[in-house]
Parts: sequence; C-alpha cells; structure tokens
Amino acid sequence: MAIANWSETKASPRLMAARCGACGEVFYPAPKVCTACLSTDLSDTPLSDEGKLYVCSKIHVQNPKFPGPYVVAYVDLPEGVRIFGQLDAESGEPPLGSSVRLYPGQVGIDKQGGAIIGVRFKPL
Amino acid sequence: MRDVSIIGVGMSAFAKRKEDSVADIAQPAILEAMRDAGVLPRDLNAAFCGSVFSPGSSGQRILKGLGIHGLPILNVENACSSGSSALREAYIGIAAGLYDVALAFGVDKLTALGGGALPLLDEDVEAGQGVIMPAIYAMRARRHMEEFGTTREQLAAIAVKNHKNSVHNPKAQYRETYTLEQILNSRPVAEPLTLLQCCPTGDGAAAAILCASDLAHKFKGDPVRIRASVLRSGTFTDKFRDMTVSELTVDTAARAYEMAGLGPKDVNVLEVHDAFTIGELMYYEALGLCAHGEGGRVVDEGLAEIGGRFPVNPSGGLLSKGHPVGATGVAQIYEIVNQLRGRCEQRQVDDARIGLTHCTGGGSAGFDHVACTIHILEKA
Repeated sequence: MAIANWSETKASPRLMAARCGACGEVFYPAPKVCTACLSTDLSDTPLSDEGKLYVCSKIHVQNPKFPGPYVVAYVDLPEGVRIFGQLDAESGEPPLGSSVRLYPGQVGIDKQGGAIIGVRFKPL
Repeated sequence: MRDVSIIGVGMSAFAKRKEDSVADIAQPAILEAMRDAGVLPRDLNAAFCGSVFSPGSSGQRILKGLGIHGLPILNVENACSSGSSALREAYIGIAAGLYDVALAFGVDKLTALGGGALPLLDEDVEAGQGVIMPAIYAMRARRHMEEFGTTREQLAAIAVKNHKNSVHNPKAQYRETYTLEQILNSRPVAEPLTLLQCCPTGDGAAAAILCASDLAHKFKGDPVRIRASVLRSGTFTDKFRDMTVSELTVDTAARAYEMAGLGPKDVNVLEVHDAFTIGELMYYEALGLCAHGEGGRVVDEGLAEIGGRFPVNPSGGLLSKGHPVGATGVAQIYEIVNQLRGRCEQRQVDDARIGLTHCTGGGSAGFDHVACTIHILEKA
C-alpha cells in the first residue's frame, strides 16, 4: 500500500507534486483543482529529492500500524513545499537544518500485514 | 445584536466512566446548569449539543430524559472546539433575537475509543504516515526550544502548575501534585513531551444556560456577560509555516479583543487549551500575554500562577482536569463563570472581573489547527 505519490522510475524515484498550468503554483499532495486559481489544468511535476530538516520528534506510542519508536519529521524542499515523513535516525537525529534525501520506504504496516510505503528521509 | 449573558452553569466530574452512557454523563451537568439558572424546560427556546465522538442525534437523545424536546436542537461537531462552538451558536441565536433563553452543552465519552492518542483519519497524508496529536505539539516544542532556548524544565513546570491547581477542583480527573522531576521522568510519548505533559483521556460533560441580558432578571441565576464570542477555522497550506506561532489563535484572539473592546492586559483569569504543555506556553504568546518567543519567561516569573499577573488554568486545565473533547470548551466556561462569581474557594483568583476561554484543536495535514474559539466574559 502506498500513501505517497512516487514516480515510476526505479533508478531515482521522485515524489510527484502537481503544478498548475494556469498560475504555476506547486502543490503536494495534488489537489483536485488549483486552490490558488481553481484551474483544473494540473500536471505531475517531480519534486527535489533533497531538502532541509525543519523539525523532528521521536514517537514512543505503541500502535500496531506504527510499531514504535519511530521518528517523524518535516522537511523543506527548494520548491517551497514542506513534506512530512519518517526520518532514519538509527545513528541519532541530525541537527535541525541538516540536508536529507527523500526516498520511498516503509512507514507502517497495513491491515493485511503489508508495508505502507510512504516518504522516508535519510540524513546526508 | 442583543447583549447576552450566561445565567447558569453545570459540569460533571471528569473521570473514566466506561459503564455509563453519554446521557448518564451529560444529564446531571445539564440539570445542574438549569437549577443554577433557575430555568425549566419550557423556558428554553433552543439547545445546542457539542460532541466529537458521541453517536448521531445525541442532543435529542440526551435531552428527552430531561423533558426538553420539540424545540430546535442542533448537534455540533467542530473538533476540540465542539462544545465552545455549540455555545457560540446559542450566543448567536440570542444576540440575533431569535431566542431569549438557550442551552449549550458539550459531552464526550473517550473511554469508548479504547484509550491512547485520539484517532485521526487514515486517509490524511500525515496521519497515514504516523503523525499523532502529541507529535504535532512535540515538533512545535522542538522548534520553540531551538529558536528561543525554551527548556524542558519550563515546559514541565506548566504541568506542575496545572496539577497543583486541580488539587482544589473537586471535578478534576486528577487531583494530585507532581514534582518537576516526576513530570520530566514520566515515560516519553513524543520527544520532548513526556506522559504527564499530555492531557489524559476521559469522559465528561458541561452545560451553560444563555439568556438575553435584559431578561436575565427574570431568572435566579447570577449572570455573567459575554463580551466576545469568536470562532475561526485554520488556514490551509502545504508551504512553509512557522511552527512556533499559533497563527489560528493569534487571529482568533485579535478578533475577540476587538469585539470586546479589551486587550490582553485587561484579562484577569484565563482557561486555555493546554492539551500539551507546549500548547499553553505558545498560547501565552498567541493571546498577547507576552511577546513571541517569551513564553518561557512567563513560566520563570510565575505570571500564570494563581496569584500571578494573569492566572491560566486555575481549574487544572486539560492536563489535570481532563479533556473529554466535546465537553472542554463548556467546562472552561463553567470555570470562568464561577471565577467571576467568586465561587472557586481555594483556587479562586482574587478580584477577577474579566475572564477568557480559549479552545482549539483538530489534527489535519496543512492546518495549524482546524478550529479555534475564544470567549471573553465579564462579571455583571
């Protein structure tokens, strides 16, 4: 099960946002219409695969869907959008503001026991 | 617009009441408010029920057992602001002249959900990847610490204060004091927040009777004037946002102060949405009680203690009194009305003339929060 919109290319998958053909606004995740000008002329556009860690927090709550502990984070991309995901922090959390790489990875377990594939961040 | 007053309030003791129905929980609180006001079912022109997790049509189901039926009854869901949004609906109806007397109440039974963090929608892009309400507040705390040097100890001291206040509140879910070390050493939930910095889950209800101020003399209840009643919803963005600013509360507060013709310096006592310690600290700033980034100083100087310059959460707040979500906004009104009437005994704030309630919440990707209400009340 996937909860993030990743591009098909296996080599360097990119998170796909929507760009409005009328006014140029970029949105993630994609809305049905451009929320700035209400145009329906939206097309997929790949986002950068690197960003800066805005903030993170280690979660200790136990939940069958998200077996803890795990680290949630917001990462700011050059396109001006902020992405939520989980941070690889086995070797400790990097300082806020550090560069991280985005990649598709497991963030949880779905009801059938399969992996939920979302957004993960790897410290660089 | 007519002037509106609150002439009666009631509240259940907040507790875990797994065996009781929503009606069992709500009816005594409503009855207490009606007796306090001196109104009978026939005096009511409308009723508003705020709840998040109660079954549909709960307002009608609860009120039939108190002889209240036939009149307009509206069920209101608006995240943690459900009860306070119900109260605002009653206010609007009376101010507009549609009703003279109306009931507003809030109720929720969180033990029916099985405990733990409140459920968020799986389809939400953040909740579906592991966000929970404590995580949202924890990330705000982390940024606030990073940018302003706010400390874990300052956050924990807010829990110490609110737990200390609730010792004198017979209706609070927890009535024990905790040391700073106990708060800091309780188990981690979402770093840097520990368990005793997160509000508990529980069950409860609170009710208020509102009346056109010029008709209040017809009833025995000791009236308190509503100077401001404001509801706002959060602004959505997927772009950058400063997580150290509670922007929805800033917006709501500015409008509430304008409506009341008052400012933060005029407020003598506040009930604020302290679902987590960092929330209360950031709301000191957002409500204009101090400048942005100076919440830690408010803690260090004891300004929000009972006896301080602007006591916050004398009831114990959500952290200690409890947070049955739909009930909370009206329970805050219960406390402020009784503070302004001078009925709070050992937790009474001296010379309280103006009080403020602030209730906000709802976790959804791209929002600060989904809803916020502020009410400013004045001793008649």
